[in-house]
Amino acid sequence: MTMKTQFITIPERFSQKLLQLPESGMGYQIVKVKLNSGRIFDHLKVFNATLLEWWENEPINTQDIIKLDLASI
Amino acid sequence: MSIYPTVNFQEIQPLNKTLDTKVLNEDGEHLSDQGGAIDAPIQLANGSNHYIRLSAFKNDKRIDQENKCLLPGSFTTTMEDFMTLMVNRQMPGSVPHMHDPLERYALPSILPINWVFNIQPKQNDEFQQGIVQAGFGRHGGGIECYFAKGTSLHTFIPPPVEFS
Repeated sequence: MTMKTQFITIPERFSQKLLQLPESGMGYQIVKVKLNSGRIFDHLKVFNATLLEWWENEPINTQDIIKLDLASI
Repeated sequence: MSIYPTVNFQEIQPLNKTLDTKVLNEDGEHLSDQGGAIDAPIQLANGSNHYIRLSAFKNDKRIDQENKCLLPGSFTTTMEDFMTLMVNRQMPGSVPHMHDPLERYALPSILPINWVFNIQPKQNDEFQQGIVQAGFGRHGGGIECYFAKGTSLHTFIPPPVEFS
C-alpha cells in the first residue's frame, strides 16, 4: 500500500541533532519519530536535516514530536 | 515503555532497501563483492582529488558554509562518477541509472537534484568508498564516498553550481 506523502519542517532542535549524526545516504537520514501521544513512527525519511516526509492524510503538529533519532537498520 | 505499538513505515510503504542486494555493472555483471561506502576500509585523501555532493538544496546543511567544509558523517560521490553521470546525460537512450542521479545514487527523495557542491579534501582526510546499493526502488550502482570525520577547513570550493 502506497500513501501520498508531504514534507513538513521539523523543529530546529531536531535539525541540529540530526546534523550531529551521520547521514543514511547523500542528503537523507532514516529516522524514528515519537509523538507526545506515545505513538512511534519508524523508518521515516528526513531530507537536509529539515524536511520530514510524512503521510498526507495523517495530521501532525510538529510540536508534538518529542523524540527524533536515527532508525536502527 | 510505550503502550502504543510502533508503526513501522516499512510495513506501509516498503523501503525496498536490502542490505545484501547485488549490484550490476554496466555489462550486467554482479558486483557481488562491492558493498557500500560504510562497509569499505578507510582510506586517505590525496589532497588533489575532487568529490561531488549532489543536493536538492542550495543551503545544503551538510556543507559548513562558514568553515567551508563537509560535516562529519556526510556522503559524496567522486568527480569521476559525477562526470560519468554528466556524459551520459548527453547520450540519448542511456539507461536511467547512468544519467539520473536519483537512480544512480539510490536516493529516496522525489525532490530533484538541483545543486552541485565541489569538495577537495585535504591530504590525509579520511573517507570510505563503495558502490551505492540498490534501494528505495532505485538502481544504485554509482560510487559513494563517506566522510565519517568530515573534511578539513576550506575544502568546500564555493559557490554551489546549478545541476542541469
